[in-house]
Amino acid sequence: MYESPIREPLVTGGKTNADVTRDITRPLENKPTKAWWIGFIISAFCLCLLLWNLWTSSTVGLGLWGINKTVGWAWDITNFVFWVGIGHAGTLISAILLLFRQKWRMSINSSAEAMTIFAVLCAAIFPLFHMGRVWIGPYWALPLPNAFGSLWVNFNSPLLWDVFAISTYFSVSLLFWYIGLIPDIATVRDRATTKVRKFIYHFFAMGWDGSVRTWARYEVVSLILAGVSTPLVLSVHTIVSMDFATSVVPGWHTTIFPPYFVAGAIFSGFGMVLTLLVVARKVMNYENYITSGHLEAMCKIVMLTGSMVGLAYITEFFIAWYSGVQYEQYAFLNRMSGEYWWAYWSMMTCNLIAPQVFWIKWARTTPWFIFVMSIIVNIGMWFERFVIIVTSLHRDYLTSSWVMYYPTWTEVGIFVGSFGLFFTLFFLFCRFLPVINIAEIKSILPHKHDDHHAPSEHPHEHIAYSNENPAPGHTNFNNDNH
Amino acid sequence: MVKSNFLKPLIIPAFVGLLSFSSVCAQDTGAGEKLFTENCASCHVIEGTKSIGPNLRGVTKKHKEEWLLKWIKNSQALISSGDATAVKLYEDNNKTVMSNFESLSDGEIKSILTYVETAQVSTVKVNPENPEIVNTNELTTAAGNSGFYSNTTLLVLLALVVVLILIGILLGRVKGMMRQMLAARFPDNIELNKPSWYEGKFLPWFKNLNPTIATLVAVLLVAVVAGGAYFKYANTEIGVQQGYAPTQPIAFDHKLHAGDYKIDCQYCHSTASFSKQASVPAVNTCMNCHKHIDAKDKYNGEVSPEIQKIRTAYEKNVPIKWIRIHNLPDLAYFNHAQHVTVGKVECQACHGPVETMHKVEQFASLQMGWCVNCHRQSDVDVANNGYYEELHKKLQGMGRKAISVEKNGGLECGKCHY
Amino acid sequence: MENKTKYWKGLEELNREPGFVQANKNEFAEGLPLDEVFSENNMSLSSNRRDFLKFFGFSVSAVALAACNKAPVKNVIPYVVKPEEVNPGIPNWYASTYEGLPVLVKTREGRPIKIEGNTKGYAGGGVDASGQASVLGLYDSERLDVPTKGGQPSNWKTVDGEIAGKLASIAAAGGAIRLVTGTVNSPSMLAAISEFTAKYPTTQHVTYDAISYSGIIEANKMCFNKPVVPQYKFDQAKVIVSFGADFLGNWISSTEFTYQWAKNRRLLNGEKEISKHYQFESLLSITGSKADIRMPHKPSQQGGVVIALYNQIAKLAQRDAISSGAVELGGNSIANAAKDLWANRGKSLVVCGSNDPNVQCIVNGINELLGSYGTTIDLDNYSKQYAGTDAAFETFVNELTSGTAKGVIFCGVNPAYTYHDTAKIENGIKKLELSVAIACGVDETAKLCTYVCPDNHYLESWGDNEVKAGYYTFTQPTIDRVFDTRQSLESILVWAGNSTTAYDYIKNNWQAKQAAGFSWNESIQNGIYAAPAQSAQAYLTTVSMSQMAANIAKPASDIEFIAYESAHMRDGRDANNPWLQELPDAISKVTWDNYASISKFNADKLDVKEGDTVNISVGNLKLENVPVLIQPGQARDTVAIALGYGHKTGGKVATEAGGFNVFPARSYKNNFINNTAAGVKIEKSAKSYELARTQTHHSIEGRDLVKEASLSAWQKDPSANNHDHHQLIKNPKKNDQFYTLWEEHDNRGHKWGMAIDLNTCTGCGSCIVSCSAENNVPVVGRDEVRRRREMHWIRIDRYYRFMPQTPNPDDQQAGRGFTKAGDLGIGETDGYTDEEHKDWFDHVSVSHQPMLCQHCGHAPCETVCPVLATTHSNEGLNQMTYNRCIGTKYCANNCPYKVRRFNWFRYNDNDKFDYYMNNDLGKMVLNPDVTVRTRGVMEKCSFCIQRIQYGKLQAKLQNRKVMDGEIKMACQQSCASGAIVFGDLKDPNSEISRLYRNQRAYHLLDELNTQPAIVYMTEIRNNDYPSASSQQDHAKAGHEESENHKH
Repeated sequence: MYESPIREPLVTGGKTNADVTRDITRPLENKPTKAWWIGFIISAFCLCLLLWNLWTSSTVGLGLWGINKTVGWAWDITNFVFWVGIGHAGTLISAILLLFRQKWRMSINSSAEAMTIFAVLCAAIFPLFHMGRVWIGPYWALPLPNAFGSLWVNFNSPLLWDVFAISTYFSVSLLFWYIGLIPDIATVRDRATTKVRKFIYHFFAMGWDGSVRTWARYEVVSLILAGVSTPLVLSVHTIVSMDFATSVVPGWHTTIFPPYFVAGAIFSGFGMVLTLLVVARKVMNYENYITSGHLEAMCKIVMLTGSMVGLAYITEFFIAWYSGVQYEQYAFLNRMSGEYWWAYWSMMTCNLIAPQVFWIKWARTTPWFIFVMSIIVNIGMWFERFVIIVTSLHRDYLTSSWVMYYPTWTEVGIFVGSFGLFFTLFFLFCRFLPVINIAEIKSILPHKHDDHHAPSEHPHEHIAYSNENPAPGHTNFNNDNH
Repeated sequence: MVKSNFLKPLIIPAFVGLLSFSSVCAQDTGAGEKLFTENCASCHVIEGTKSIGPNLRGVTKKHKEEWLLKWIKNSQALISSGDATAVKLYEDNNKTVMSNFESLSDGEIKSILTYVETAQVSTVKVNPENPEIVNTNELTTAAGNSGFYSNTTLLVLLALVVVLILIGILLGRVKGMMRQMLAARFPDNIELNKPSWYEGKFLPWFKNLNPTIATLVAVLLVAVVAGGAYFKYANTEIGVQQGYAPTQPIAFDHKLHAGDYKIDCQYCHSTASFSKQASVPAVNTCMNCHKHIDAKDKYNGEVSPEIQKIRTAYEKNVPIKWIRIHNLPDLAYFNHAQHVTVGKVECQACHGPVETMHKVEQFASLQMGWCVNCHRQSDVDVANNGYYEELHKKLQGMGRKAISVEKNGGLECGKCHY
Repeated sequence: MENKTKYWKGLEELNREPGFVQANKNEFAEGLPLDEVFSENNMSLSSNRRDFLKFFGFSVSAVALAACNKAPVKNVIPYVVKPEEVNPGIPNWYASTYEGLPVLVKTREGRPIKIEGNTKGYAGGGVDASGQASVLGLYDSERLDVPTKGGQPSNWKTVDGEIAGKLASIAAAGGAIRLVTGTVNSPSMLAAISEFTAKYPTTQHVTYDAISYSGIIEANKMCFNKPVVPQYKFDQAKVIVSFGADFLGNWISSTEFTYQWAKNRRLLNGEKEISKHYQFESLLSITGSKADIRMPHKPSQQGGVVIALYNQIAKLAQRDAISSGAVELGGNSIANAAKDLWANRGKSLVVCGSNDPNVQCIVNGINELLGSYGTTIDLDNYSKQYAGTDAAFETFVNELTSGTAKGVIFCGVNPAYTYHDTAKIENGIKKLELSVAIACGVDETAKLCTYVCPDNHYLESWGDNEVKAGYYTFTQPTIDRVFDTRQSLESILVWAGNSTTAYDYIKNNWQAKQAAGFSWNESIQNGIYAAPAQSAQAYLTTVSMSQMAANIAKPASDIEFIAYESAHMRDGRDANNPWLQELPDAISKVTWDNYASISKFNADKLDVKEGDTVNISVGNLKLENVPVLIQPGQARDTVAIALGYGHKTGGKVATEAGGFNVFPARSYKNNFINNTAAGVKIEKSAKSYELARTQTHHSIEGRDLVKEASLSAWQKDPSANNHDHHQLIKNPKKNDQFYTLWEEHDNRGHKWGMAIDLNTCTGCGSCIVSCSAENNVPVVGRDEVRRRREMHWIRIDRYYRFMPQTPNPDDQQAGRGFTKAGDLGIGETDGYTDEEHKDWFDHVSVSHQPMLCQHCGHAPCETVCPVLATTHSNEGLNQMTYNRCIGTKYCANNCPYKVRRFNWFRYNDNDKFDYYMNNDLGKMVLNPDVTVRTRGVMEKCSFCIQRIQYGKLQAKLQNRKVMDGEIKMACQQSCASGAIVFGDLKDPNSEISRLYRNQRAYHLLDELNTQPAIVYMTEIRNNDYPSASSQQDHAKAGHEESENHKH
């Protein structure tokens, strides 16, 4: 039982199981609100932007981008790392917090995981389309047997590691998310009225019947998946960081990258979760499920990770100075005081300085302020990647090849478009799937009457009969004993 | 079709070739003989019916050796220099230009001459109705019009299948309706009211399927089929056209020339030994022989239409647009000299038994895998080429005989792609 | 190699038919039905074009582009009668001549595709950028394909008839006929002209060189009564002093001079000394960039500076000095120069770029005092490359304007563009009864003329040139005429009523000559015939130097204008050549434009930065919005703009390049055209304009990229400033700090390596064009260069450092430049605005560093490619496999040398890049042995792998080892100074191995342990001065120097 006199409840407003189901399935069953429509149309428009720009840059040529002979990666990879980073919070919340039995995660994990999936989808766009020959790239980058006297891929290349890391990450997260949703989908199915809804949810529910067997399986699978995906939280961004760390480019070639990137990823991930939830809970009035307690907890994490990232920034400088390598030293001086100083300083302010306000309780508990902060964090983290990639590349060894990089509209379009994709998916998610995990949230409802059976031990009963039965615990329990 | 039995007329004059060639080839091979077959045999026989050039038996008695050397190396020079014998010879052989053999060393020429004198010729009678050759015509004609196995037939068949299936379904429906009507008529007839296989077996089974699994399986099946189809399509797209045997503007028969007459490949594809391309022979090369070989007697006095094509081309000064069979993509660099001369690879190794093909077809897939395989299996001939001297020493040091092309870097991208 | 250096002289060799012409016809005459072949390219084929196009019969597929495109049916079209020497897949080499320079022309399937230097020639096998690019002119689809009359296409018959008729009538009426040509040194052409004059007695032959050497010719006339350009021998000179003569750039015979100059700069074959080279000039020229001591001065001071030197020398020679007009320069430089010159009498040479006879006379005076005549200057075997005098042309212009000239034939000259007062020419031509232009394309002059007779490209022509007295070079066609053109020689003959072909005419001429030891076949085959040279005499002059000095204009005080000849654009005759337009200027690295080059000093005064523009008015020439380029090393109060730009007509590329025509800024006064002008107004304009530069950051930031040492330092220690680096090269795996994750490559057979001598590289850029021609490198145009996406596989990095004479002796000792040198790039900060550093920008030393794929032993690019598209060969090559590449660009990011180039677009069939690759004629120049890269793949220098493979194959076919020096890289082959050496490191006796062992060799960025296959040779500057004297002097000099700049 997740309840104690000293700790405030995770779900407020004295909700009953029935309320929970009703509240959470409301947006799925009622007509979409005006707010939803506006949001959806805007993001759908951005999505079209994405498609158009990807089409042109893959038919006309990457010349449409601002990159050049010296700066071969810029916005594309910046966005890639940015999105992958965002993905991390989801996995962290669902996997690690699950293992640590952090019950407060329950009301946000479903949306966080959804976010992960969508973010990884957005991320995947960039490594795909930054390839000069996207039409064969994905095929040749995979170690498949072939008729070329068997040409093999280069297992030394961090890009190849990426291919594996990202795809694994994506599939595991997807699985995890989907499994978690099954009971809720079943609930929705049972409540569904129209034939189409019935069929679709019927399909996705995988024939869930809420029996003890299914529940037992469900618990086991969740645990296993949590175990599997825990290392992913660390591995994925570690490997992404190796895209840079294994190169010889001054400013990339450093061993601090893995921890630094992971911290950054979690940082940005929570930033994005906050952005989404602060809005979602308002619009869908889930204040009672996603309480300011949740927000506060996340703010603390943001502050912590933010400081870790900041520490990494400073360490880099120390190492550069300590290494005594003039190219390394120049690279970092150039970051701070070179042509792209503004990028560097906006990164510093947004990532290191800004989050420190979360030392103040007011800041941690005021939704609108948190929202603003979360945006700032996202901006900061985008700039971090930009700084790492562009400022390191644009001035490396031979001064003769030093150049400036300026983005083109195509690149901007793709970046904005990726947000389009992300939010389109997220809006659809809010519309058609429960944003909060009904099954789990019920297990952490505060209970009026004392109860010798923690419902959390048999959370399934709540689902199976949730519609009919306000407090099904006992009956079920009795039934079990017959 | 013009091609039909165009070869018959060739047969009679073909004796000439056959006589000499077959006999020659019966000999134990010596340098002289080899050179003779490669360079001279297409125009000269040693004795017997006169070919294009005069018969060579006793030639050394007729002319002095140094004169012969001059003449063979560059007859035109000799003629234009106004050498009496030369001019006469030129006139006698109705002004047929003998091609220059500056490439041949005096030694080589001498060896040819000695061979010419020594070789004893056994005359072989060849049956004019040589079945082989008769078959040729059928084959060429067959290949000419794309026989039964064509796309149209395939489409027709497919259409047929679809129609049949539709009919099947229709009948099924009809049967069902009949059945229902009957059932309605006789409610108490168990036979009739027994649920059909569909209602009784299939439906319940289907209903019990796990919807997700079922759908996924269905999707998977479709994917597999589609994928397979695409693979097939893609394969042809990237130019894997093994067995490609287009109909050439002139029904040139490699079996006849390379097989029966044993004309050396490089007599026509002359640049193969020292150039990137093997090169299709220029019309004048064909005319070396076909100035005279016209197979009239097979076409009751008419010149064989196919040969006529060559002659017209020559007179009109219009080259023949042969269709290229072995097409490597431009991204792959292949050099004949490297393989023919240095690697000593037989033409047949890549082009297949051309000497048995009436109509040449692409023998190998010409895919990279195919090339690479050969490079894996075959060895570099380090012993007999000064270029490999160092390597050869090194290997001997290591107590090894040979080194595979692969080990010598023959699998490196830069060997073919640049 | 046998096969490679076999120069054909056409079919005669084969004794097929008697006459060569017959044979020649045969070679080109067999028909291919190209209408079919090209129907898919829907090309309209004029009859002559077919004659040519049929030619590449077999290589249809070779020309076919874009890897992986599959034509349903490929036709193979053999020759009907195969010319003996044309074998598909085998290149043939013909000796020919480009503008008097002996060259070899490489043809494949009958298409000329590459120009190389003729090693038997006087320029030692080098070819300059223009020569390399000239082959592209042949395939210029904008060439005039038929004779035109009044702009309307006509045919030869009518045109000839009418022209001959008009000429006759004019001559009959006693009207003046003028035949205007560039310098004609072809005996046959001269003969033809005399025939012409005989037929039309009123004819005069006017020689017009747009950029003339009038000054020198006049001066030699005055001094020695020899109105010629002498032959200079830079290889004989220990001390060279040049007054603004860009003899490594384009002065008279730059390729030859580069070759000679380099001989004394190498220090690789046991020499202990290098020549000492002083340069006094106004703008930073290529020559100036290689000078040991360089002093900027205003153009109007030139006379004074020359006088000053004369006086110094005179003092040493106990002759009386010139009383007035001397202009001293800082750094005691003139005195030092004098000392060095005098110390090396007879082994020294003074040259001057001035066009003023008076100045040249004084230079002659100096040379005479130094005893240069007969040693370093040869007036007997003089150069015949330039004979035109400005005065001669001026008289013609007057005849033109006055209307006394009735009929004029312009042959290969474009005065309507190159003359300073074009209005005169235009009106003059309008007045003419008969105006004929013999030109390749419709240039400004041809546009004005009634008749335009298309001339052959030189690769389609017969010809002979007497480059120097007694030294002849021959031109032979390597291909039949592409269009219905006729070479000028024939045209002149036809109008002179002589119908013999050029071939017969030239041959007969020579047979008539009966020259000693001349054999027609041999000469044609080698492209050269040299009559035994006379012995060079010493000469004495009687002219009074003071009098000459008196005639020299006094120095001007205000801002001065310089119209200079840029190294590859010259007088603009090649403006329509995309290769040359995209070739970055050796010093400024600007492509596709000319610009106002000004000193830092003036930039600050005008408050302009790079990217700004200025309005300039010179006399009555007004130039609006000229982009500014801040040129370190340029003299203060000067504005320099390159000639050869701003074409109104003359081809798509020429007009696209645009720019400003500054010929009008020149002026004709006392018998010579002055390229400079005083009294220039210049003010900042509101507009801004971004120049397309391939390098925007010019400081080396104190990085150890270009190692240099002073001669004295090097003499003390041959590995000066290069100790540890040399150790690394001697054995890279010596100590354990070199262990590596990767297994070492086992180099079986060969290990290819390259050495680049920074001493002799002048940055001229002919290697760049050569590489582009050899490797089918696309031209991308101005905008793409601005986006920093030029595709050149080899580039030449140019770094400025402040001259050692500015206070920083340690750096000078270390041979290193200033570590905090400011950037001069667009949008980049400039550290040196404060007063005390101002003058630093007047004295910069320049380093040129050719940069191409280093073919690293541990290549960073190789490990990061996910698909193994770039791999290492066991011959030490870093191979790039285009068809495997998926274009992640990671390799480019990870390349410390930034030599990889990405195909941003499909240059070969994208209309945005309509330069040469995407029209059917232009495609003919492509090298069939090299893939044309498609969009989305990475490309880079391959070490001309096709040449390596070819060389190896030849060796195998001939059953022998590869000979050292047998395989040459494209860049190496075109380099006149021989700065690039390529070879097999496995062969301990090879040249390359020898250079690797040299103590000057170093790997670039070897601290990264990339183990490149390329070594650079430290740059040794002979800049301790005066050579003899001690450090005190130097300090003093430095002091005076800075003194000099306080005011």
